[in-house]
Amino acid sequence: MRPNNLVGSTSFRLAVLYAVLFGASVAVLFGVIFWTTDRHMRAQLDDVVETDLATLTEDFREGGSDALIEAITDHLDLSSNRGAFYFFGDAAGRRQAGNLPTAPSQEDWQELTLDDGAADSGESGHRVRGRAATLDGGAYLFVGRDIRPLNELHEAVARAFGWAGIVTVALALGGAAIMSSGLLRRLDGINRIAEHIIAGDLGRRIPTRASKDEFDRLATNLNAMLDQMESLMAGLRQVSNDIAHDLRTPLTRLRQTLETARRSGSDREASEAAIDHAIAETDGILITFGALLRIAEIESGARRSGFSTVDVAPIVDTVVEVYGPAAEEKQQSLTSHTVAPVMINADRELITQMIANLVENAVRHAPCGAAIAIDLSIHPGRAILTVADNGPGIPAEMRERVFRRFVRLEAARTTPGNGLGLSLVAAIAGLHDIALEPLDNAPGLRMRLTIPLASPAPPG
Amino acid sequence: MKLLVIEDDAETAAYLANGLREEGHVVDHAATGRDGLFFAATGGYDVLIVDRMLPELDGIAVVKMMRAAGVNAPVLFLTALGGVSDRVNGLNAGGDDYLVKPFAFSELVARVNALGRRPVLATAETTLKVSDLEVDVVKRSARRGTRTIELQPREFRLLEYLMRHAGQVVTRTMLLENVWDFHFDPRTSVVETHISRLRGKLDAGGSPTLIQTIRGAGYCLRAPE
Repeated sequence: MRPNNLVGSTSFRLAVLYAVLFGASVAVLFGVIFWTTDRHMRAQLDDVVETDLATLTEDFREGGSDALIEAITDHLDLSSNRGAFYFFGDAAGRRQAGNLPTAPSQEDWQELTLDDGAADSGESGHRVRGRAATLDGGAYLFVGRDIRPLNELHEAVARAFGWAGIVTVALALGGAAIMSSGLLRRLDGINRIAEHIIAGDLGRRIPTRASKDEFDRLATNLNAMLDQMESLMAGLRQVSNDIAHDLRTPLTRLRQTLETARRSGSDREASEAAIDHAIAETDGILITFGALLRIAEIESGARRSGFSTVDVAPIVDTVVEVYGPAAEEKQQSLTSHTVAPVMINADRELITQMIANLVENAVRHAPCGAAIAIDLSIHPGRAILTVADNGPGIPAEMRERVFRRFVRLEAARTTPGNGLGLSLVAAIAGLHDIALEPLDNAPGLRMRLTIPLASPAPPG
Repeated sequence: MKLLVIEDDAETAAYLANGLREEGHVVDHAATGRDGLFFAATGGYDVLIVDRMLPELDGIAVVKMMRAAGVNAPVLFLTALGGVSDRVNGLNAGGDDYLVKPFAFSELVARVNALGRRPVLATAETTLKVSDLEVDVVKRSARRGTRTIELQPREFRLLEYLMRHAGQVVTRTMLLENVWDFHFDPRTSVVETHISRLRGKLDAGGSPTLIQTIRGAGYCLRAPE
């Protein structure tokens, strides 16, 4: 792992940030502990001084200076009073008793630094905290305690904190380096696979561990995305092949027709007929291209901006009216049953074309004398439109495939058509979130469309 | 009629101009939107044929400006764009009709004629008459001589449209769009079937046929020669 890569990486920076925050909270913790302990110890020390002061003052009151001097001497003799300092001074400040050479007479708390030597107890270099109490006639008594333990505490805590700080920082940096290098390695792995895929090896996928952590989720999602991309590209190749294949035939016919026209030369009528034929052929190709473009436009979702609230019932009625005569010519019965209104959010033109295509398909592919029935009904939140015929229907294995471009049933191969009608229906249905199901009408085909209603539907 | 073609592609422009001249019209050509705007404002044309895709100033903008300048002549848009929003945009900008390229020339001629004729045949007329066929638009009734003709509502609309364009060629596409609101081409010959039905009803009892089929173009309702 290159060092500059590591230090610059976001994960390292985050780890360091975390370490800093942790260090700060440790410092706060130490500070609180220190401060609390310090205050407590001070309070205790002060209590001891006060008690001493009160006791000795009482001794003075009861027995005068002599009693006090005796009491001070006793106190100093007690080894448990190590660290105690006394000073009994007269009004002029001359020492009467005690182990301090001198002491202030103020009644508020003082801290004194002892010089070396002069004190009887032989201790030197201490800081004494205490206060004085005024006695009769200007005399005063000063009681204090050594606060060296307090200072030693300060130093100990500071030292401990110092070491702890160093260890924390070291651990933090080390931990950060280890953690982020681990993360970087996994990310690097993903990046390398992505580079392979970009370079063209579409089959590669990102390996996942069993740990189901966030990296695995990322890897799983990326793999799913790659799967979809691969299938879309395969689909695209398929469609391009289909298109090229299926347009080559009419284009070839067109060329042949034009050659015929050329060969007819002086035969004006034959030549004109051939040219008419060529124009008709070209029109057919243009219609196919137009349908392909329309399907692509619909599939891209661009048409959604043209949506408005549309009543399906009159559209069904119009379509039935338009194809009525065509059905009659084939002695087919074309009936419809609708409820109204059926309001949906849709592109009116596309819905019209979709329904027209379905009805047209039924009229075309059902044989003479067949019965074609259209039904439009309302259910909670959705409308159901069915176009059913009792013709040959679609064999079960073809039911999914018929919606793909250029797919035509064997039975229909000789009838005119470009195989895009149902693709258009499927594309329009997809754009409108309409569920489209080809069902067996036993016999025949029943196309069932489930159309979400526009909300809110007015009552009644 | 006096026509203006605003089209930047030289080949298409020549195709349009020559074809329309052969139909007996006087045709001027502008190759850019700016020129077209200038011609339109000063030329007094009956119908304007405007390509949507023009360099610099596109067709929609040209028509908007024309309308703002008070040019009220009907406009037919030509375009390679076939989406419905394109059509609506064109009509909202002040256009009157819309043709997607490539189109059959007969389609263009029929539509140009229909547009050019419009101001003459006021929509306020309540009775339309061709030969001995009389149609009352308000009462929705039709009569041939003394014989009343029973028509379904949609059949009546078809007849009314043909009557209002009497003497003009009406294409299948025009009928699909205006009578049934179908903006696509059904593969079945539905229009033919409806026309022949209507013919049957009109010509019942031996009356001479009024609806002629014009090969390669469409239909025409006119008094028999």
